[in-house]
Amino acid sequence: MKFLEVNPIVLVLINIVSPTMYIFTKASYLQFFLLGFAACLLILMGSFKRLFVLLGIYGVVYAIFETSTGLGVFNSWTSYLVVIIEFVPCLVLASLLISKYSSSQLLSALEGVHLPRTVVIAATITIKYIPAFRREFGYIKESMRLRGIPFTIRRPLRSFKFFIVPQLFRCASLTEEVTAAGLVKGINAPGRRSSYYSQRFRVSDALVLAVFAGGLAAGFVI
Amino acid sequence: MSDTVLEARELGFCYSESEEGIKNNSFKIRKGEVVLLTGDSGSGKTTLLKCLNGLIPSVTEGEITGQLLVGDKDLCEMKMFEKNRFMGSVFQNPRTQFFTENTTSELVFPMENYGMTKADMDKRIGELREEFGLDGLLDRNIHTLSSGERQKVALACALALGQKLLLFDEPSANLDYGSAMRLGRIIKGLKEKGITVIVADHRFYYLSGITDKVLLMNDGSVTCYESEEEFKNSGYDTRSFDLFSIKGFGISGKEERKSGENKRTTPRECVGKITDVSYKNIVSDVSFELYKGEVAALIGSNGVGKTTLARLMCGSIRPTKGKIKTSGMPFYIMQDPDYQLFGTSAENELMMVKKDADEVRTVLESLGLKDKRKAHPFDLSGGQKQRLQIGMAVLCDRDLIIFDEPTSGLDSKSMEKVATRINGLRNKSSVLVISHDYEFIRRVADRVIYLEEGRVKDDYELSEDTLDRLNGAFREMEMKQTCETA
Amino acid sequence: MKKMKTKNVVMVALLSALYLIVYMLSGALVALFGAFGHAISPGLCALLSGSIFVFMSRKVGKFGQFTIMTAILMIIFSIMGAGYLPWIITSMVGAIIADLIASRGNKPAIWKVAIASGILHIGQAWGSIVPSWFFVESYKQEWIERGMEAADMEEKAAATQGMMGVLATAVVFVLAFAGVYLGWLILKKHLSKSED
Repeated sequence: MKFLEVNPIVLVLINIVSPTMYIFTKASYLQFFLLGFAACLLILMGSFKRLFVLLGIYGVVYAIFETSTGLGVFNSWTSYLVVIIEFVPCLVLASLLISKYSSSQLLSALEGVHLPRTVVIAATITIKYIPAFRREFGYIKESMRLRGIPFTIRRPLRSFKFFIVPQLFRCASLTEEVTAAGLVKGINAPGRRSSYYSQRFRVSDALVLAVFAGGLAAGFVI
Repeated sequence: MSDTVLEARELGFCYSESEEGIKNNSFKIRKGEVVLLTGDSGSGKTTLLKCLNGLIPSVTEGEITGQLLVGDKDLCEMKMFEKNRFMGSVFQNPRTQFFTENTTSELVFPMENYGMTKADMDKRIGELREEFGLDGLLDRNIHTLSSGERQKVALACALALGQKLLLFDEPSANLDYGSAMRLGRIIKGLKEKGITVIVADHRFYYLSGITDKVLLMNDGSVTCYESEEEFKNSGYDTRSFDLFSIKGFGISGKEERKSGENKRTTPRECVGKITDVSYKNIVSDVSFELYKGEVAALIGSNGVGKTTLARLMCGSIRPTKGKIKTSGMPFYIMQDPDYQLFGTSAENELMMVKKDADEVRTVLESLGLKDKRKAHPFDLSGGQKQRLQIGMAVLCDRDLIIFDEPTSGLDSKSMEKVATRINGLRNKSSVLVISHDYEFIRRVADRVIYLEEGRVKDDYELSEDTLDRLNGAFREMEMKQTCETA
Repeated sequence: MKKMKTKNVVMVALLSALYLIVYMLSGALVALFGAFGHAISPGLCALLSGSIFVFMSRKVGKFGQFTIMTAILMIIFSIMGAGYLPWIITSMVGAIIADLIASRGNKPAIWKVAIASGILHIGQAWGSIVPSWFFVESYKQEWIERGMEAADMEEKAAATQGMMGVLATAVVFVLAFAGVYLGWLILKKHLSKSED
C-alpha cells in the first residue's frame, strides 16, 4: 500500500540537513525524531521492508548500547553504536533513494533546484563511467599479468603506476569520443535543459518538508 | 532540383595545427539517398565527415572555406547544436554512444538537452517506438540488450529529434560479418522511410546493392560517382563489395591451395592442447591442438565464446571442465589496445617486452613506427597502436600468440600490412587469430576453427577445397543475425 | 584565464569518475583504522589520487576544473543520500581556493598543484572534522548525565577535537602534497613531450 509519492529532492534535502542538526540540537531528541520521521515516511511510501530493517537495526543496536552503558562500558565500540543509532534513519532513507529512483530521475530532481546544466551533464557522465572504469581496472590488471608485469604489494609504487597510468590516458582518449557523441546530442545547446523524469513539487512534498522543519525547530525549544 | 538535402560548394578545411586538410569539395546529396563516403586512411574522409556533423569547426580548430548548404542555409555558419537538429550521427564505438544505463533515459537525453517538454517527449518516444520497433526495448538496462537491440536503440537516439539525415562514422569497425549485413538492411529500411544516409567507412560490403552515390576521397579531394556501378568501374579497389569474389590465398592473394598440399611431412610441435573444455554455459566440450608454424583463424558470431576461449588459454579464467595445456603463457593481444599499453613511449613499450635496443629499433622500423618511437603510446593513431602491439608480439618469446580482432577499424592497406606481419610470426610461434574479417582470414589463415554456440562446429585446413566451408560459415553467421532481428 | 570548453568539462567528468573509484578504495582501506582513520580518509585518498590532479592540471588546466570536479562529487554524494551541508560547504570553498591557486596560469608549477590538492582535501576533511567538534560537545553533557566518565569522554573527543583536529588537518595536507609529487613522479615521463 502506497499513500505517498515523494519527490526525490525532498529525500536528498532531508539527508543533507539531518546530520548537520546534531551540531545544534540535543542528540537525545533528534535521534528519536529522525527515527519517527523516517519510519512514518517509510510507512506512507509503502516501503515496509525497509521499515522493518530500520526498526530492527535500531532496536538491536539501541538495546546493546543501553545494556553496555548500564554495565558502565564506554569505549570506542559504544561510540560506534551511537553513530549507528544517530545515522541509521539517514542511511535507510539513502538506500530508499538509490533503489527507488534511477540516476536520471535523481539528476533531474537536482535540475529542479536550478543547478547549472554543465554540472548536471558532467555528473551524468561521471555516474555512467564509474562502473565502466571499475570493469576496466580488471582488464588492466589482467593485461599486466599477461604482459608479465604482475600487480604485487611488494612493489607498490610500480604496481600503482602501471595501474593508474593507462586509465588516465584512457580518460584522455575517451574524452574525444564522449565529447563528439555528446555534442551531436546537443549537450551544449543553449537554454534550459528539460527533464523527462522531473516531478512537480507537490503540496504533499511541501507538507513532508514542513513536518521535518517543524520537528527540527522543536529541537531548539526542548 | 528541390529534393537536394545537402549541397557542398567548394568546401574546404585547413587544420590549424598541421598542413593537412581538404579542399574544393563540391557535391549534392538528394533526399533518401544512401551515400558511401570512402577512401584510405589519411585521405580526408574523416575530415569531411567532421565538417558535415559539425565537430569541425566546433571542436577541431582550423579554417573552413566554401559552403555547405541545407536549403538556403549554410551549415558552416551554424552552431553545432543547430546543425544537429538536421542530422543525427552514429559513431564507431558503441561504448561511448550512451550517456545513461537506461534505454528510455537514453532516448530522451537529446530531447532534454534541447529543452523539449514532457508531453512532446512522450509523443516522440511513441513515434520512435513505432518507427524502430522498440516494443519491449523501452525502460531497459542497456547492458542487458543484445548487440542488435543496442544498435536499434543507438539509431533511434541519433534520430530522436526527428532528423531526416543520418551520418555513420565507420559503423562496421566493431561489427562481425552478420551484424554488418544486418546494418545494411537497417540502412535500406531507413532509405525507404525517406531518410538520407551518409556512411563513412572503408569496408562497404554491407552496402552492396543499396548505394546510390559514392564519394571517394583521395588526397583531400572528393570524386563523386553517381551509382554503385560507376564506382565499381572506377578502378578503385572495390572488391570488398562482394567479399566472396576474392581470389586466392596468402599475403599476395596469389597462392593457390589444393587440399593436402600444405600437409607437412615433418612432425609439428604442438604448443597448445585443449581437451574437452567447458566454461559455464559459454563454451562446451571444445577440443583442438595448436602447432608452431601455423596461423589458425577462430571464427564465429559475436558472443559465441571466442574471447572466452582465449581467456581460458591464458589462464585468466579456469575451465569448469576439461584440460588446457600450453607451453608457457600465451601472448594475448586484446581487441582494445588501450588496456595494455603501459610504456612512456613507443620505444619504451617494446623495451618492456625485450630489453634489446637494437632489435627494438629494427622492429619499429619494420613497422613504420620509426618516427613515432618517442611518441607516447596513447598519442598514436588506432592503426599505429595496432602495429605497436604486433611489435610486442614479434619481440616476445612465447610459443603461442593470440590476437583478438587485430584488424577492426583498419582500412584495406593497413589490414594487408597487419596480415604480412602476422604471417611473419609463424616462423617462431603458433598464431591464433580471432577475427570476423573475411579478407584478412583469406590472407593469413592456414586453418579455420569455426565456433558456434560454444562448440567447435568445423575445423579444417584452408584451401581451394575447403573454401566453400568458410564461405558457408560466413553466410550462416549472417542468417543467424537475420533470425535474431526477425 | 581560458574558459572551459565542453571537451574540458567531459574530461573533468571522466577524471571525477576515476577519482571516485580511488575515493571508495581509500574509504575501504581506512575503515581498518577506526575514528582517526575516518578523519584522514581524505588524506589517503589524496595521496593515491595525486596523479589525477597532476594529469588534470596538465590536460585541462583551466580555471574551474577543481570546482567542477568537487561539484560533481558533491552532487553524486548528495543524490546517494550521503551529502551533508557542512561538508558540501567546506569542500566547495576548498575547491575554489584550489582553483585560485593552481588553475589560473598555463602549466602551473607542481608545488602549486600540490598546495591546491592539499587545500582541496583539507576542505573535504573539515567537513567531518569541524562538525564533530560541535557534535561531540552537544553529546558530552548528555553522556555525562548518563553516567559516562568525563575522562572517557575527553579521550573520545580528543580523536577529532582540538590538537587532533589540527594534526589531522596537517596530515591530510602533507599526504595530499606528497600525493601530487608522487603523481608527478609517475607521470613525468609520460607527460614529458607536452612539457617541452
